[in-house]
Amino acid sequence: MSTINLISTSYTWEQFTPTFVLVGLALLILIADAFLPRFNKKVFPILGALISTGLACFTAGSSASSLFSTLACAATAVCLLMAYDYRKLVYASVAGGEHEDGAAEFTALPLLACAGVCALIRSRDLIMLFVALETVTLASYAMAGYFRRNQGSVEAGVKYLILGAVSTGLLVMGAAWFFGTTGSFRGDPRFVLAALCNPHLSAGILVSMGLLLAGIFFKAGAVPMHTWIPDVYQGAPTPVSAFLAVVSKLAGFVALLIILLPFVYLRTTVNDMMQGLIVLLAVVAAATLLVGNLGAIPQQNTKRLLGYSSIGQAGFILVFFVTLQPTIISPVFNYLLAYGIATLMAFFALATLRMQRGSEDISAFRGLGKSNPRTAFMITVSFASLAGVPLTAGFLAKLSSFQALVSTLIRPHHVVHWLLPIMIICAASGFYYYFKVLRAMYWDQPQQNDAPVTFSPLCTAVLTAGTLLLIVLGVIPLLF
Amino acid sequence: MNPAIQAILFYIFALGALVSALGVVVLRNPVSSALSLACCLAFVAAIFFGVGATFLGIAQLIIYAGAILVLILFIVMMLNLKDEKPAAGNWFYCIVGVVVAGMMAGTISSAALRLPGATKGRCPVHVLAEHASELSPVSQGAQATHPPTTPSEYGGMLPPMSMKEGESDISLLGKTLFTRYNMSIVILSFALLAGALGAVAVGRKLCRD
Repeated sequence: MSTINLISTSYTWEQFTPTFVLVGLALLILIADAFLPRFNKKVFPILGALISTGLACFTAGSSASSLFSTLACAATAVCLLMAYDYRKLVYASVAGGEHEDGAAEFTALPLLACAGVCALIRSRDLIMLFVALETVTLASYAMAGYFRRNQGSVEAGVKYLILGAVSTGLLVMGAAWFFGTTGSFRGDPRFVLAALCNPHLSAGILVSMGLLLAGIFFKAGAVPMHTWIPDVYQGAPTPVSAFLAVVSKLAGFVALLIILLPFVYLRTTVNDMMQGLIVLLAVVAAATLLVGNLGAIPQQNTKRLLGYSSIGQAGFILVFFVTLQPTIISPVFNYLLAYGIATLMAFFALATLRMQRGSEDISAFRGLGKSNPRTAFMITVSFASLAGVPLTAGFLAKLSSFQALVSTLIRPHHVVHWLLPIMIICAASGFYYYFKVLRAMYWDQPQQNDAPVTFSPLCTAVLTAGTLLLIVLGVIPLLF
Repeated sequence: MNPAIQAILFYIFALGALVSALGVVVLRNPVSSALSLACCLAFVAAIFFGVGATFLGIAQLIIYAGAILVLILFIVMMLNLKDEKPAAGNWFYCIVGVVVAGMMAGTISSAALRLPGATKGRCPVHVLAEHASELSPVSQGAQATHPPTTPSEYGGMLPPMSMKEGESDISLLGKTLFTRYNMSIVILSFALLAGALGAVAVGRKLCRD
């Protein structure tokens, strides 16, 4: 897999084809919603999902950018399918279920956010990075607060907006310092090296990196900028939580890759500063692992649990970044793929349970092992993959994270000595809290008045495809 | 302009901006806070004029002090906000907030004090004006005529503007925006579209059931 090219100076229109197609589609849907009142609004999310899937196939390729674009488009397509399944609640949130207003915006906003992610993946300078990231977050604020009749959703939207604005401020201030010290918005390693070697400017570029990292950590959900995640995931509509957990997280890690790439190239030149950066990233990764995995243990609400789980998984991804190797792009993508498939499956099943049992607690999974054994098996695979059970993709992804830490910091680096035990503890605690869901499915007795849950054909199809992917990727190590 | 006058003006405007920025936080009445913010923005615009960024200064005055602040004032008056009550203090959050803010301020000011202009112990504006000619063409970045080879060819202070004779900073800004950053502006329009759509979706009138 090729690395990201930092030196290329200008953008071409072809690079942004997915972005333009997605924005065009969003506009078409909005126009159809406004001027064709008799048009069946159920079609919008299906249309969006189809076109996103088409784009995912269109962008597929071996370069890093096309891989990430494919994943983002495919994940958006799954979220839109989930929105289709979830449409009754969307209508109820806007018009009390009387008519079908609000479906078009609920489709157009994820498409716009995905367009931002596709642009972010192509960005090679801080201006484009910021603008693309803002496209993602502005759409996400509105999506998180979309259910205005639901207090939790409004709270999630407001919380995300305020904390997101702070993180955007940090990012912009970091970009300003970066421009002031290197004279360029591009992360060209030569400019960064010059600033690092200049005694007047070295402090300035470190401040800029600190601010940029703080802004990006917010999007990626790393400690100490993680506090929004559990509340927003819990309050936001379930398809939106899934979108934030997968696509928005992917955007955060791609942005982190772009920001850190000059330092990857410089890791052998200014050794003492790079050692400082490695220790900083290791401390953040360790704190993220601990907060995410230990915080998930007492959770009773599944969305909150998945929120903490996404923090914990972000910790494992950050471990790749600790090594500062140019080869991290491919394992980061593989980890995000395994995590994304399993998380989307979990949210898809949860959306159905939320509609039929009216609850998002872990106890809503009760008795599924008896009433819906096939679906229960597929949910088991998804949570097993998140926990890292062998023969699922999640196991190989976690293994590659351990392997990256141990094998690339060749000289026994002091980071290995304390980060590795923390990773082991956190991987073990994952087994506890993910398996709470499995316990509810197989060991908890269904209540008297429980009707068997009917999973829609769409949900079953997505769960089956996800299960197959997770097992195939886990048994035949194509990627890892 | 005489460098001494320039320096004196800079310090006056900077002090004014600092004091009015403090006023935004300290004043209890929301309307006073908003007006204090207007003063702060106007002082910053004056500093922009002082370093020769005329367009930026005008944009700051028209857009921020003019349009955005009027909007804020409208909202404040429409909501009919009363004086802000002092928040019930939690000592733990208070201490954490002070420590984080202090660390941030300390880091940024120590980095700023190391910048080339500051080490000469003189007003940054003065230094910029005096040494404009001997600065390296670092702002040109990769556009420089020869690819720089050693680290010392990079870095250093930025020249205030690299304008040709008879060119205004407005045309320079326009050229930069619509050539090098053209694609970013296109994507920015999508961000604005997402923002507008989000505002409509969240602000729509709900049917009562």
